[in-house]
Amino acid sequence: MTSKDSADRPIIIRTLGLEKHYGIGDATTYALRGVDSSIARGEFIAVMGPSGSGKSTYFNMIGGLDSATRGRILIDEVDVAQLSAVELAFLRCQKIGYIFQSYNLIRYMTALENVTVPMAFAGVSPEEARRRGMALLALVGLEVRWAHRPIEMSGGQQQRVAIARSLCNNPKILLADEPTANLDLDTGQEILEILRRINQERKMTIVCSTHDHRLLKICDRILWIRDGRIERVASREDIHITVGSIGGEA
Amino acid sequence: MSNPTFHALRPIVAKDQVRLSVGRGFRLAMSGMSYRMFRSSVTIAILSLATAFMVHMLSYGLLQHATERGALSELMHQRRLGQEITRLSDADSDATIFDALATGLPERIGEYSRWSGLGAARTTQTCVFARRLREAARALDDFPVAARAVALGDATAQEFLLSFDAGELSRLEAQLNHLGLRAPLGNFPELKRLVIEGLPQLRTFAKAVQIGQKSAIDELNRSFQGESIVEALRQSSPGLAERIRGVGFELTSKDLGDLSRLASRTTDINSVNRLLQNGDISTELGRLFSIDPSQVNFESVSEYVSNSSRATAVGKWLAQAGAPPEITPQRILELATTHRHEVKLTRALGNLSEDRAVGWFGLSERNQWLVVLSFLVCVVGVANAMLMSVTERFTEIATMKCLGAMDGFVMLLFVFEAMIQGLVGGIIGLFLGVILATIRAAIEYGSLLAGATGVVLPVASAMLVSLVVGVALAAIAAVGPAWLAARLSPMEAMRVE
Ligand SMILES: Nc1ncnc2c1ncn2[C@@H]1O[C@H](COP(=O)(O)OP(=O)(O)OP(=O)(O)O)[C@@H](O)[C@H]1O
Ligand SMILES: [Mg+2]
Repeated sequence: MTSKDSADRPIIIRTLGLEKHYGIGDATTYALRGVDSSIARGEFIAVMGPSGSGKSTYFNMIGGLDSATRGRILIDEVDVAQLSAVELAFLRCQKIGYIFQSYNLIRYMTALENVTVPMAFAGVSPEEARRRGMALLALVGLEVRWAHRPIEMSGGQQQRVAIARSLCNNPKILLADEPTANLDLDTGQEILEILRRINQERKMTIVCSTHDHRLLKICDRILWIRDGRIERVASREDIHITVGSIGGEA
Repeated sequence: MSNPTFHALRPIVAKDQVRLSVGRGFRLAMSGMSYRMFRSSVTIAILSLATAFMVHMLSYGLLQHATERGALSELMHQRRLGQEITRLSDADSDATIFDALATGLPERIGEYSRWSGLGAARTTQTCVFARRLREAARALDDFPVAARAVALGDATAQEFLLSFDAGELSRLEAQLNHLGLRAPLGNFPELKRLVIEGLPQLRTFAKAVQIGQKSAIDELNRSFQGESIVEALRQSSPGLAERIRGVGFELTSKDLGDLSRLASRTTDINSVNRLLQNGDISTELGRLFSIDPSQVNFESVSEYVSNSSRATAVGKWLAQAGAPPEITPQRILELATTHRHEVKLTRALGNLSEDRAVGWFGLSERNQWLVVLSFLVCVVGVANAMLMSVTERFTEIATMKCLGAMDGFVMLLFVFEAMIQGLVGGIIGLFLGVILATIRAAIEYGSLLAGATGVVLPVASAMLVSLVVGVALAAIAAVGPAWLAARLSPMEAMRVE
């Protein structure tokens, strides 16, 4: 489960016996049944698994968006369960960037305003936020569309705005839950390309779940989740050997 | 996976996590609202209607009150003028003198002190007696109806007391004891002292005043050389004021001006009335007004003469009957308008005393309930609108929370939104309500509304109160839904989508 890459780098996300149950009694769903994982700083992790296996639940747990039923989640070796409301807000605002399958842009704001919202929460001055926001929109190739509202943009463009937004406070971790699921192949490819660039240039830790096999070519490691458990962990070099079996599985 | 050893847990340094400024929240709420224009405008409409209703009730009550006060003081003034004319030709009655002394009208007391020739100290003392006697009379008036009838018979308490003597006093004492009632002024010895000492003094004083006033009037009349006082006032001949004041009357120049106008009006109305006695004229005018000739009088003339062409028509007939030159159509219109105004004044007072205002801002109890109810309905309406607005925006709220918004900020956002809507709706409602109340009062009171002075400040404060109440209620209505929104965990909210 440890790889050569992560051995010499500090662990930024660690889960220990992580369990998440939904509902009570007979209706209980065991979304996660004891997940042990550790992700090193600067890694690009792909999370794969069939639908309903618990990927999104895993994301919500490590992103501090929901509380665990059992087990521990440590971000930068700090137990998320111990954080106060302010600290949790700080974590979500400045340490983690989120990218969602459905973009989740705020409808009544322009692209630039959407990008500057987390900076406002981080106390960045409006002028500085605008400057940084424009730079980030340029990074994702949308600087000319800064004044457009979400409804005036395509899905791929919206997702790029969401990526720009997730980067604006320069977080250590980027969590992307199926960022390409709503996009066509080419657009999905563009998004993955942007993520790869961010990982390489900014040394940002990226955890990305997907059903898209092209992700396997750019990630460092793959976590396979099935029925709420980690089924397998592999580094990219290993996959090339077993590439045939992957195709059958996914 | 081998169990790793941890460093001691490091707390996250969260002091950099800002709690967003009020200004920022305000701007966010504004842009959110302008995006959801339709829903916002419905909320604003609800709020503005409720505020309009409240302001309307409050300011209408205030206008009604002020109009009543204005009408009352105008009528009082006119009555006083009428009295003054009488006083210039006839000495005051005992009751008038007693009233003035008991009430302590300064200019009357000055006049009386001069005419009686009894000096200031005696006058002051008599005033005290008069005041005490009036207190006693009021106390008698407050007795239960049956007891009052036994003790006083048909007379008013004041008449009764003024015609008192020691014998009657003993009879009253026996009766009150029999009925088990307390004596007026607390005890009988006090009342007895008042009656035995004060009453004769009061009577002597009144006599002296009447004699003095009579000779003052005689002196005044001599200076008119046969003219009546009304005639003299009407012509307001030079030096008249000096002559009137010279004999001891205390009348201001304004009073004299009013008296002069009243005198000429009375004279003119009398001459019109005289002309109407002419059978031919009353037949013609009766045809003109389409009423029976026997009903043609000044009353019906002023009802008919509502514009200058009608005044010309009536004037033509009166001129034929030999009207004096001052009875021009213009003058007829003036007389009629003033008369109609007076009728309206009297009528307004009659109406107003019926639904006498009782509570805050002159609202009757029923209207207080209406205001409260309208605001309850408004709170429910706004709460409902806010609830819709919250459920619509679960994803937005979740996203905000993912991006680092604190619960308090999310709440602030919603409460702000409601308050802005309350403010906008409230301001619209304010003007709507005041305009509505003014129109309603104008329809009801017409020109009398002009006499409603001193309402600007109370109406403005009613507006302010309504605005504050409106904004506060909108905020209160939003707190529940906002709390619901803020408490959601980001993931739960995201799922609702
Ligand atoms: N809020 C919830 N209440 C009840 N059950 C839930 C809830 N969230 C997730 N689950 C259940 O937990 C399991 C894991 O769901 P999860 O969304 O993590 O799957 P996933 O791997 O992300 O699937 P997909 O690839 O379709 O997105 C599913 O069986 C799901 O029904
Ligand atoms: Mg999922």
